[in-house]
Amino acid sequence: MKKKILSLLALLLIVAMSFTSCSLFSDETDATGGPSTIVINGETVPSYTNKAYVYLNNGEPTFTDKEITTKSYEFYSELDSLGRCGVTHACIGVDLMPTDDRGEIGSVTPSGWKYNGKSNNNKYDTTLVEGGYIYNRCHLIGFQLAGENANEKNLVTGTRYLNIEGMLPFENMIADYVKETKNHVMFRVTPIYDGNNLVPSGIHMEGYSVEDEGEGISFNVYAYNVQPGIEINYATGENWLSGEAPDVEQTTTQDPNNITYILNKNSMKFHKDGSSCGNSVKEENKDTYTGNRQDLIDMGYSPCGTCKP
Amino acid sequence: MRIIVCLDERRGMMFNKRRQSRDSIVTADIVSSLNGEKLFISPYSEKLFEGLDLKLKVKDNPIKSAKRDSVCFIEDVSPNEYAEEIDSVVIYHWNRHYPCDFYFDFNMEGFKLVSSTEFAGSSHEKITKEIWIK
Repeated sequence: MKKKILSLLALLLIVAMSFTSCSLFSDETDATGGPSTIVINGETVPSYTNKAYVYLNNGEPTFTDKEITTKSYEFYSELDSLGRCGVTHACIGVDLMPTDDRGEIGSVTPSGWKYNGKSNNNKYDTTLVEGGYIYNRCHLIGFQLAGENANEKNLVTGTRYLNIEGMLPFENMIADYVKETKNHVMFRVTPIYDGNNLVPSGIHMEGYSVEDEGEGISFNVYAYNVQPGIEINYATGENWLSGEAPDVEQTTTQDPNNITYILNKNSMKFHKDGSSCGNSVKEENKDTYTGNRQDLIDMGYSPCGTCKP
Repeated sequence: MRIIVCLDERRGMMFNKRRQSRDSIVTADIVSSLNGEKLFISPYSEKLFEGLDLKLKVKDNPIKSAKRDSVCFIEDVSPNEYAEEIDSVVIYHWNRHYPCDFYFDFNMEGFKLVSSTEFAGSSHEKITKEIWIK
C-alpha cells in the first residue's frame, strides 16, 4: 500500500513538473513562421544575432526544491496533436548513462522533418552547413546522458547548427561532470514552438548539479534553432538559401480556412487530401471537408499520425 | 613565469562563472609536475586541489602576485595584462566542446610547442597536454 502511495506521489510530481517548465507566446509571426517575439517565463528572448545560445534569468535555473532529487529518472511528454515533442526532464546520474553505442534513429520522423510528403532535410554546401544536411534529429535529452535512441518523444527537427553549437556543448558539460563527480544533474529541455509551427524556434535548457547545489553545473539558456545563411519556414520546415526566393510552390501559403481534408467517419481521423492513407479510406466511411483544421478537431476528429495533416 | 590552463576545443575556460570541466587525472598531473614548487591559484580554484599534497598560494589575482619564476594555474583570470612575465604555457586540452563565455585569448606568438602528449583522464577519453616555451 505504502509503495502504491509513493508511486502515485512520484507520478503526480512528474506531471506537476511537466507544467512548471516554461510558457511561450509570440505576439506576431513573421512571413516564414518564425516568431518575432519569444517570451519564456515572462522574459523576452532577444533575436538571434551570432550567438548559438543566450542566458535566461541571468543564467539561473528555475528548479524548485520539490523538483530536485538525487534519484536518477527521465521523463518525456506525450506528442501533441501536431506530433510535436513537449518538455523533457531528467535527473542525470551515472546509472542512467548508456553503456552501449548509439543506435539507429532514422526511423523517427519528427514534426517538420517532412512536409507534404517531401523531406525538408535539404543538402547545402558544406561550407555553409557542416556535413551538408540542414537538419538533425536532435535529442532533447542527449543520448550520452540517458541512452535514449529512437524515442519519438525525445527527437525534434533541429538545424545542424542548433545540434552542434547550441545543444551538444551542454550535454558534453553535464556528461563529463557526472562521470567525474558521480553527482546528479537536473536537466530540463523544452522545445519552444510558436503557435502551430512544426519546427521549434529554439530549445530552452536548464541544468543544476544537485549534490554540490549548483557549484559545478548551473545554467538557464535558450538555444536558437537557426542555420546561418539559410532561411527556415518554421510552420512547415521548408528551407532555402538566404536571399534566394524559395520555389513558388514553397511560398504558396494556403488559406488556413480553405484546406481540404479527407475524413474517416468511422475512425474519426482526418487525412491530408491526396495522401495514401486518405485514399485508402473505405468509400462508405469517406467524406471530404474544406475549411479550418481546428474546426475539424472541435468536431471530434483527430489528425492522422501518419500523414500528419 | 609558467601558467597552466585547461581549454576546450574553442579555447574556452569558463561558463556562467564555473569551470567548463575537471578531471582528477589532470589535477594529479599538475601536482606532480610542480616538483615541490608553490602553485599560485585564485580562491575559485582552491577546492580543486583540496586534500592533495602541494603548496598552494591563494591570491585574488595569482598572476599579479606570483614572481617571475613561479607557477600559476589560472581558470577565472586573464593573463594578458602580465604577458611579458610569462615564458611558459602548459595547456591541457579537453578535446571537447563545452559552453563558454570566458576564453583564453592570450597571444601565443613567439611561443614554441616543445611537447605534446595524450592520455586518458578519469572522465575524458583523450586529454592533450601541450607545453609551450618562449
